[in-house]
This record gives sequence, C-alpha cells and structure tokens, in this order.
Amino acid sequence: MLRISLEGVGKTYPGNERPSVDGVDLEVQPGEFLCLLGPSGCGKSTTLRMIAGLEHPDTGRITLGERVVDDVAAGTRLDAERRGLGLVFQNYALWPHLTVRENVEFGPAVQKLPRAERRDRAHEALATLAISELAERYPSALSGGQQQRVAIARTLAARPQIMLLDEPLSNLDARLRLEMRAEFQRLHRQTGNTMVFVTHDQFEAMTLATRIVVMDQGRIQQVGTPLEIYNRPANRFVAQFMGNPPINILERGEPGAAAQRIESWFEARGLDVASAGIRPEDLRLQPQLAGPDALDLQLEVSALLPTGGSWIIELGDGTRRFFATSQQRPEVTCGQRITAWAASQHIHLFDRAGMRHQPLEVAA
Amino acid sequence: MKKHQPHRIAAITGLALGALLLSSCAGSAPAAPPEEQAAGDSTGDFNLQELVTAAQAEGPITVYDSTSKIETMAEEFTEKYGIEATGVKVDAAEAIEKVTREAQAGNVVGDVVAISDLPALKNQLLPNSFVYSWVPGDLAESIPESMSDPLVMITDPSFFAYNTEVHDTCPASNIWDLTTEEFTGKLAFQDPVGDNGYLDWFSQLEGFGEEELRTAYRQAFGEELETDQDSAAAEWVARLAANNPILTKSSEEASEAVGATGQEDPPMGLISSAKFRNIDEKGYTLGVCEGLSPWVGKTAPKGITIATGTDSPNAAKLFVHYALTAEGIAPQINDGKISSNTDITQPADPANVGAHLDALFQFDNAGLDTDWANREKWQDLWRTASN
Amino acid sequence: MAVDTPERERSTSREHLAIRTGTLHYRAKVALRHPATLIGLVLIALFGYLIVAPVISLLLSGLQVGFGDEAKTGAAAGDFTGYYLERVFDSPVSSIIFYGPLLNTLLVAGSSILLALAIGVPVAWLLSRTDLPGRRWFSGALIIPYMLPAWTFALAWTTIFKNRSSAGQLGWMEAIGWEPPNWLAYGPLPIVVIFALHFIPFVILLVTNAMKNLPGELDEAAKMLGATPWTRWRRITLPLMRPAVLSAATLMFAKAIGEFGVAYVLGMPAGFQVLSTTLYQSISTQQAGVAGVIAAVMVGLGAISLMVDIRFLREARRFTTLSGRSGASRSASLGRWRGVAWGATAGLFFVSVIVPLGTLLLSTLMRIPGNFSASNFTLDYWIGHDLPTAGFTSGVLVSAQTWAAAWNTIWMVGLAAGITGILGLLVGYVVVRCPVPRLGNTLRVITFMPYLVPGIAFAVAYLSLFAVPRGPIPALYGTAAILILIMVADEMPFASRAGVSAMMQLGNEPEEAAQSLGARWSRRMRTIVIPLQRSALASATLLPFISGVQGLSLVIILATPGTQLLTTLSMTLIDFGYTHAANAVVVVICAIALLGSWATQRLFRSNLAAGLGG
Ligand SMILES: Nc1ncnc2c1ncn2[C@@H]1O[C@H](COP(=O)(O)OP(=O)(O)O)[C@@H](O)[C@H]1O
Ligand SMILES: [Mg+2]
Repeated sequence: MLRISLEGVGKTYPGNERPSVDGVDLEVQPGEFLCLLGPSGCGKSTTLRMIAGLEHPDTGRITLGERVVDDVAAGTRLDAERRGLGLVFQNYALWPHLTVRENVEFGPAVQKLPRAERRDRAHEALATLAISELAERYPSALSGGQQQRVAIARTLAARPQIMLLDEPLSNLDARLRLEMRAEFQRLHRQTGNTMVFVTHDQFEAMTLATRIVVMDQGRIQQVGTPLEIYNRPANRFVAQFMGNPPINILERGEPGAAAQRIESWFEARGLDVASAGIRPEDLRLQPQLAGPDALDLQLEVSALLPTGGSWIIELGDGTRRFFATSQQRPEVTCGQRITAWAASQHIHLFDRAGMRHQPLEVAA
Repeated sequence: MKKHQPHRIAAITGLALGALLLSSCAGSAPAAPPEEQAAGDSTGDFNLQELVTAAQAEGPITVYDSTSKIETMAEEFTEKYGIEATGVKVDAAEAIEKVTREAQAGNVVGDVVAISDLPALKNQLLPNSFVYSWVPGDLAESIPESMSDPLVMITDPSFFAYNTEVHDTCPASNIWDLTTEEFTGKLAFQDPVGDNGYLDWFSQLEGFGEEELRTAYRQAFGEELETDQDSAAAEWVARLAANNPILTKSSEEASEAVGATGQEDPPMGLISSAKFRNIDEKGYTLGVCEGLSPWVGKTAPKGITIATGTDSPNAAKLFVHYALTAEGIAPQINDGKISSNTDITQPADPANVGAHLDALFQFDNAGLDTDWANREKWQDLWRTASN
Repeated sequence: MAVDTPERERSTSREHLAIRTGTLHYRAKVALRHPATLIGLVLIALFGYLIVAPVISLLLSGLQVGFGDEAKTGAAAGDFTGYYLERVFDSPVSSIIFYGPLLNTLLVAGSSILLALAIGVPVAWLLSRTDLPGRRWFSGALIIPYMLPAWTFALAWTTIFKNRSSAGQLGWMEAIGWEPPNWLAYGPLPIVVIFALHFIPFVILLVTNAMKNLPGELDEAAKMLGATPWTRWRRITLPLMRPAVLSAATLMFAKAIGEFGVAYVLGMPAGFQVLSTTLYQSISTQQAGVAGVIAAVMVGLGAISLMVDIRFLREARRFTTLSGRSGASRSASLGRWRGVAWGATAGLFFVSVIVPLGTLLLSTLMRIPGNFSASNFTLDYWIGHDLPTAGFTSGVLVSAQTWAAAWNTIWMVGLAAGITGILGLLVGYVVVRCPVPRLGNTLRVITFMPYLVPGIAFAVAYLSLFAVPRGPIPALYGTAAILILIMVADEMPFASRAGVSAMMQLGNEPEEAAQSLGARWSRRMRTIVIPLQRSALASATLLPFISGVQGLSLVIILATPGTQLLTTLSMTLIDFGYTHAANAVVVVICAIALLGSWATQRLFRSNLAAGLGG
C-alpha cells in the first residue's frame, strides 16, 4: 500500500492554450478509496494518467510511496511500465485477439512468473469477479458488464498496490452500474488496495469514496469526505455540482419577489455576501419544521413530480424556479400559493468570489 | 455448406458463358475465298492502270506491319494514288491473332498484312484462307522463286558485328569460333527463346546450311564434325547456347552491348542492319564482321498478304504492288532491309548491306513447314543446352 | 365419408406444397423487388462477360488444340488435348519452363513480401503512431513508388549496377571504378529488392490505416501491466495488425506473380526465369496452349493466396469488435531515436523515389549515359527542335505526338477509372444491401479474378474474344471501347474492395431513414447514398487511374489505329532506339499519375488506403 502525492502538478497538452491540469496538490492515503469528481473535460483523466505514467506533467512532482516518479525540476521521469500500478480503462481496452484467460494472464506473464502461478493468479482474479466460466471466450463474445469484469480481473491479476480506474462504469447500463459499484466496494475491502477512481457521476462518488476530490477547469475545488463535500461545499461550484435536483441559488440584486425577500433577510443580519444556496431537501413546506430563525419565501406550486419514494416540488415566484423535495406526499396542489421555509443553518452563503462565507457558521 | 455456394454460382456462370463462347467460336467459318474481282492476275496480263482505276473506286485501307515505318509508307501511298491508307504497327504475334479474329468475325480491319512470321503465315493464315498471297504480274519475273509463295516483301538482314573502337578487324573469322572459350560470354543477341525469327533461322540452317556449316567446321578445327545432334546446325546452336551468350531484349540493346564506346573488352553481336544507324545517332562503334565464314549474317523474311475479307481488294493489291517498287519500299530499305524485287538497287546504308548481299545466309520459303513444325524442338534444344 | 379422406389428405399435402412454393415464390419476389438484387444480376451478367468469359477462354486455350498445332497434337483445332499439359508438367523441358520458374517465382514473391513487410510495417508504425518529424509529408511521399511503373526501378538498377556481363555502356558503379558482382547486378537479389520497394506503399497504406483505427488504450493497457515496448509490439500491436498485413501480403503476392517487366530485364542476364517470363516467351512465340497452362497455374497460385486471406479474415472478424468510445490514439514519443527514425524514413524515400525518378530524369538529360561532364547535359530531348532522330524530331514537350497521346491517356484512362469507381460502389451496394447474400459474394469473387491474371494473358484473351460479335454485342476490336472495357475489368479488384468497405462503413441507416420518409430508390441513391460516398468514389477511382496511366501490357496488344497512348508512344520510341525520348515520356506518365492523385486527394478528400479497400 502506497501513498501517492502530487505537488504543484500541471499539464498543458501541446497545441492547447489552457492547462488541462493546473497546479494540483493532492495526497492519497494508503488504502483509501479516492474519487476524482468533476464535469467532463475538467482534467480528471489527465490527472489519473499522470499518476499512471501515461502522461508526464510539465510542472510539479509526483511521488509514489518513497519514490519520486515524476519531477519536472529534477528531470525525473519514470515510464508507466515501471510504476507497477493498475489502470482500468473507460472502454476496457481488452485485447480482442486474446481470450479472456490470455488477457488476464498477460500481467503475470510480463512479470515472468512461472506458468503455474500465472494460471493460479488468473484463476483467482476471474473467480473474484465471478467470471471463471468465461475464460476461454474472446472479448467480442462478451457483454459490456462481462468485459468490464474482465478488465478489472486483468488489472487484479497483476497485483498492483494501487488501482486507478477511469470512469469504469460509464459505459454500463444503470442496473449494472449499481451492481458493479457494490463490486468495487467489496474489492476495496478485500484487497485493501489504494484506489483512485475517476467519475463525473456524484452518486458514484458519494457512495464509493472515502474521500472525494472535486475538480473544475484543471484545479482542485475541494477535498473531503462525501458528507463534508455535500454539507459544507467550499464554493459555489461545488455546491452547484453536488446534488440533484440542484441547489437553489439566490443571487443578491436578482429581480423577483424571492430575491427581495432574501436581500432584506441578509440586511437584517448584517451579512456581506453575494449569494445564498438552499438545497431542495432543506426547503420545507411546513413552518413547524423550520427553526425560529428561518427564512420564509412566498411561492406558488407550479408542478408536482413524483419520483417513486419521494416527490420533487417545482415552485416559482413569478420570475424564477425553485425546487424542493419531500419524503412524504406533499399536501399541496398545483397553482396553490404557499410559504416555504429554510432553517438558517441550512443556508449556504457565498462571498463575491464564490467562496464559502465563514462568519455565519462561526456564529451558528 | 453455405460458404461454398458463391463459388459454385461463379463456376456455373463461368461454365455457361464458356460454353456459349465455344459454340460461337466453332461456328464462325472463315470468309469465302476470294473471287478474282477485277484487274490484275498473278500470271496473266497485268495492267497497272486498270488496277489503279479499280483501286481508286474503293474505300480506304489499313496496313499492318511490324515496323512503324509503315506509317510513312501509307502516307506516301495516299499521296501518290489518292487512296486513303493507314499504316499500323503490329507485331507478328499480335498480327496473327488480330487477322485470325478479324477474319472469323468478318470484321476486317487490316486489309494488307505484312508479317515477319512466315511459317505461321504459311501454316495458320493461308490454309484457313484468312489471307491470300498475290504476286503482281508485272513483277513476277523479278522475284526469286524462293520468295514468291507466300510473297516476301523484304528480307531483314542481321550481321555479326564487332566494336571497331577496340578491334581493327573482326576478332572472329568463322562462326564456329563463337562457340569456343574465347567467346564465352562474348556474343550479344536477342533472346532466341522468345523470338520466332531466331528459331526459324536455326531450322533454316539445318535445312539449307548443313554443307557450309560442316565445311566451316573443318576450316576452323581441321577435322570432321562428329556430333550426337541431328545436324551440324543443331550442334552449333547447342554449343552457342552453352557458351553463355549475352541475351538481350532487343536488337537495339545488342547493338549497345557491342558498339558502346569506352569498353575494354566488348563482345561481338548479331545485330539487325537497321541498328547500324546508331553509329551516327549514338556514336556507337560498330563494324560488320567481314569475311566471317561461312556467312556474315542471316536474313529474316517478311511476307505481304491481302486479307481475304477485305472490302477493298484492288486497293490492297495496289498497295502490295507499291510495296514492291523502289519508291514504295524506300522507307524500309533505306536502313538496310532488302527488297525481294531483285531489280531494285540497294541504297547506301550504314551497314553497307549492298556489299554483303552474297555473304548472307538466305532464307528459303521451301523450309517454312519444317520451321513451323520444329519451333518447339529448337526452343527446347536452346533451353536444355544453355542450362 | 370414407371416400373423402384420401382426397382430403392429398389436398392438404398439396396445399402444403402450395404454401411452401408460395413462400419461395414470395421470397423470390421480395428479393427481386429490391433494386440491389436487380443491380446484382445485371452486374453478374456484365462481369460474366467482361471477366469470367475471357478468363475461361484463356484457361481453355491450355486444353484445346490451337490453330496450326494440328500436326503436333494429331487432333483438329478446337479438340481437347492433353498435349500442352504434358509439355508443361511432364516433358524434358518441364523443369526449365515450369518447375524451375515456379520455384523462382515463389522464392521471389515470398522474399519480396517479407522484405516489404519488414520495412513497411515499422514505417507504417512510425507514420501513424509516433512523433516522427514530417510524418504527414512522408505519408504522402512514401506512396509515390506505387505510382512509378515497376520497371523504372529496374532501369535505375541496371543503370547503376550493371557490369560487364551485359557489356555495352558502363554502369555508374563501373564508371567510378567498382565492378559490381553478378549477384548484385542481376537475378533474384535485385528483383526481390525492387519488388519490395515497389510494394512497400501497399503495406504502408493498409497498415497505417489499420494502426490509426487501433485504440491507443490497447497499447497503454499493456504498458500499465509492465510490458516493455518490444513485448507490446510483439504481443499486442503486431497481432492486431495481422488482418491488414495479410491483406497487403495477398495483394503483393498476386502482383509479384504477375509482374513481368522487372523479372525480364534483371533476370535474363542471369538466366533467371520466373513464371511470368516463360509465359511471355510462350505468348511471343505464339504457343497459346502452353501459355494457357502456365497462366492457369498463376491464376491458381493467386487464388490460393486469396483463399488464405479470406480464411484468416474470417477468423479475424473477432478482432474488429472494440466496444465503446475509444480515445484518440496517442503518438509515442521517439525521444532520442527521433533522428535515427527520421534518417531511416528519409533513406527509404531516397531509395524508393529519388533514385529511380532521378535516374530516369537524368537519362533524359544526358546524351551519353554515365558521362557526367557538363557538355553531356542537354534539354534537347525535352524542348529541342530538328533533332537527328528521324522518327521523332522534336523534344517530348514540344512534340504534338506527346500531347495527343497525353490527352488520349487522360480521357480514356479517366473514363475507365470513373466507370470502374462507380461499378465498384455498385458492387459494394449489392454486397451490403442485397437480400440474397450469394449474389454479393459471387460478385466479390468474380471482380477479384482479374487481379490473378497476368495482364498480357488477359489482353490476349480479350483480343480473341472481342474481335467477333457475341450475341447482341458487336465486335469491339478496333474501337477505343475495348481498351476502356479491359481497363475497367482489370481494375475492378481494387474498386470493388473499396466499394464494399465504403458501403459497409456507411451502413444501412442513412438509406433506411430516407426510405422511412417515403423516398424511392432513385431518389435515395441520388440524394443520400451517392453524395455520402463522394469521397469513397474518388478513392475507388484513384487507383484505377494511377495504374491505368502506366499500364502497358493491356494496351500494347489492344491499341487501335489513332489511339496512341503515352505508354504505347514510349514503346514506339524504344523500338526506334530513342531511349532518351522514351524515358522522357515515362517521366510525363509519372507526372500525370502524381498530379492526378494529388488533385483527387485534394478535391475529394479521398485517400489511397480507402481505394485499396483497407
Ligand atoms: N491528448 C490530448 N491532447 C490535447 N488536449 C487534450 C488531450 N487529452 C485531453 N485534452 C484536453 O484536456 C482537457 C482535460 O481532459 P481530460 O483530462 O480528459 O478531462 P476529463 O477526463 O475530466 O473529462 C480537456 O479540455 C481536453 O480537451
Ligand atoms: Mg476522462
């Protein structure tokens, strides 16, 4: 089990103006399940590929355990094949001309293990993923989920200390994704490996990760446990990126009745902030659930959307929309004018730079 | 099972088509032999003026010949008689194929056909009446017996030649010398295996040069020739083949091999008389091997015939007549070919052919059938002997 | 009642039959209703006439007594005979005219393919997967050898390496004082090297294309597992290239068997015979029977290689299913090997393009070959007037003959290439769309046949067949049409490969979408299929154009009065012994091929690899 550390790592692809990864500092603890989360194009894959050694940074330093594998200043640069990491590709990258067994035995073969041991390793990896019966098939004869399992088995058989996974679930359907998520959790427990998992899907990240790294535009926005990230978003971007339906953001100076109401709410408390965010589940339709210091908004119900176990309520103040969610069937009807409440400790405040506004929390 | 079906379909389609072709092949009989349509008879009273009048009433003609000189000849013919003629250069092998197919189809393109492959002419085209040979009555006297059936237009002489830059006189005095070690790898000529002309020459040597070859052998080695081969010619050919000659794609290349300047030890060669113009054009140093016993070279005949199915028989005859006059044949004999009309004086040419006429091995139509029958034999002899 | 029963039974079984034949009928009707079926049938009839018939007649000539061989065979012309078979396979000269040449052919073909692969595959990798400097430029430039007639390489080789064994002018090596040994100057070695140089473009085109389509992750996955570059190349990249490599090998094999000029020029001084040279000797001494038998063997060899190819391709189908979105293939950094790799690639360009073209060009500028003094250089053969060469007194560029021949070449070859391209796409259309798959497969087999038949033999077969009217078709010999037809037939193999792969890539959906909106067939073709396939069509036209421009063996036999092509012009000039002018004409031919392909690629974004069906 190894620690991974990135110090000021940056990368600009030749021909690009903007860096794809921009001064990233990151420590991955041994044995942790770390998720790199962010919208498409934010530099997650590039970061992962630099850890893997498939790309090399043009600034900064990467260390695996005690070993510096990339150091731009010192000119150190270790190729991927010497790092001993495992990488699972988004499109699996199975070799179509080799059978499943041959695919899986490739790693042990490259390590020059004796034939018997290769076989055992492959056998074990296939058994771990419950695909032993597919051993003699060619990849083209496998379903997407099976291919995914083979890709993981192939990485496992090489016994890497660190496993890197680049959106391994994005090519699967919803059911398989759920199944494989559980599989990854089990694998992590079983092997105790350090895992770095790239995804753009917040649920994946929330359910799997011990820690999440949220990235945007090549930079790290926040590092924390899933709950930290959700409950105490470090900035507006993180707040908006996490959660579905998305957080309701109210901008100071925005037109509309709700905006006027919050303006006066800010003033009443002497807050110098630019915007406030209320998660849909924190916007309550019953006053008794809000605290004494709660914010009240006069809104009209414009739609009721059942999602199975819960409801999404679309509300409006004539100029913009709000979302609220409810675990119980809401006792409102479309077109009804109501008052919605938000407890003050559930209101996220952001300053002009979009950073989390601290004083309120200190006060609370 | 399924996989084989496309092939089967292809095969069946193919077979059906093949059968169709075969039947149509067999069905197409050659056109009827010619009736004597107009003026001019091979033997009787020949009247050139009548022939010209009749010819001028007919359509244009196309003439096949193996040299592009035919284009000039045809143009001059047109100029002289006002009958449109087109000369087309067609190699002997192609000409035979074309004439055969044209006759079978009744779609005659070549009205006059000059062909250097006389054995094929005699054995393929004439017996099937695809073409016929016609000797102008007024010239019959001037054409040797051996060249009138089928009618020969010209003979093409080739000479044993040497490089005059290196040698003052010919390094060989006897063609048997060329089979000795001194000339190993030192004689350049066109690959005989791919050229009927050479195979026929070998056959003619056997048929008409036996005596001379044996005599020459005696002169060269001072003893009688004893051989397991059928003839002295076969022995000579076999020894020549075994002597690692330089084989070229064309006479042109052979002339370069012999005559290019700046060589220390150039080979001798057997070179068409026309190539001696390279002395002027390319600065080659070539000389005819004068006094070579028993012959300084060979001749290859080119016949001239008329397509049986032509629409313009008189124009065709007129062209044949024209090709046997000094004026008509000038473009070809100017560079050393020899007209079969013995009345024509040989013009000056770089090889000075006129001076060597008697020292050339002459081709004889009497051997045509043997030549034809023995081509494979000579080809095989050459191949086995050179291996 | 009791009487009724058998009646009823019979009637039900009859009904059964009726239903069964009914469904068959119905199916046939549905199939026939599909325009692709009709097109397929028409194409089969057309190619049956243009390709199958000549090939069969050629093969039959090996079994039937030819005109004039009656005495030898003791049978009438047209009868079946074993005489030619016996002469080729079991006579005292068999080993000389057949077995030896067969062995030599296999040796030359095999070695040149291996050499071409050994050079071409790494170069293709450099061009497609690395940061080789100037790789875009090289990708175009290294294809040029394909546009040069193969014998220009032979010409260059003899000009440089000839020795005293063939006498005549000094070779350049001799001129600088070194006499090359015979094994270097003539025979198998130079033939193999020249074939390889001429074939490398095939490998580069097909393998580069395949490498570009190979997802970069496949290599990276191996890298992550610790595989060294060599292991990755050997175990991942190379096996994945196998289908492309095999395709290239098949194409090269058939070419190597049929190519005659090089083997003839370089083999003869060493007494080195291959099948194509014995075939040529048989044809030029009018032994059609022997020629038929040898041609049959050559066709057979080509067919075997094709079958091997097809077998492996079927096996390789599983190679192609790479699911999911795959990343752009990343180019490997060559690091300090960059210079070396560039040098090697430039070296290949020098040897396979500069040397042959340069030698050819120099030979048109120097009065006497090998004499490098300034006074020996001249532009006379290009732009001179009143030259001493009697039959061709002006320079090539100022002679009206050249321009007339160039124009003939361009329009005739252009027309043939255009027709070929369209037919190729139609074959592709039938293969992909026809409800009766056999029709498409039959077409594929038929259209590949001309590739296996040596050009001279094919032309001879054309001559024998089309000099006479056949059914509704008039006698074609003597018209420009026969030339165009044979060019079309001869170039169908590539065009149909290109058409099939283009149509497969297009798939059914675009046309079906239009169909669902009620567009009829002609409209679908006009507004959807043809516009979408414009660049594919250009690609399918390009290769036929290139090889048509330089093709000699077809036209030399079928050329007609008044249709002088550049190739026939250059042959005429060689006949006269005007090698300077003849070579200048060849330079013009190369220029037209190069310009034509450059223009097509520019205008239609076509590419040569697509033209090979790669
Ligand atoms: N090979 C490359 N060459 C140039 N630009 C690239 C390359 N790979 C990625 N990029 C760019 O870098 C940015 C980050 O890409 P990536 O790391 O793949 O994002 P993510 O995986 O988060 O979606 C994107 O803007 C992308 O366009
Ligand atoms: Mg990514």
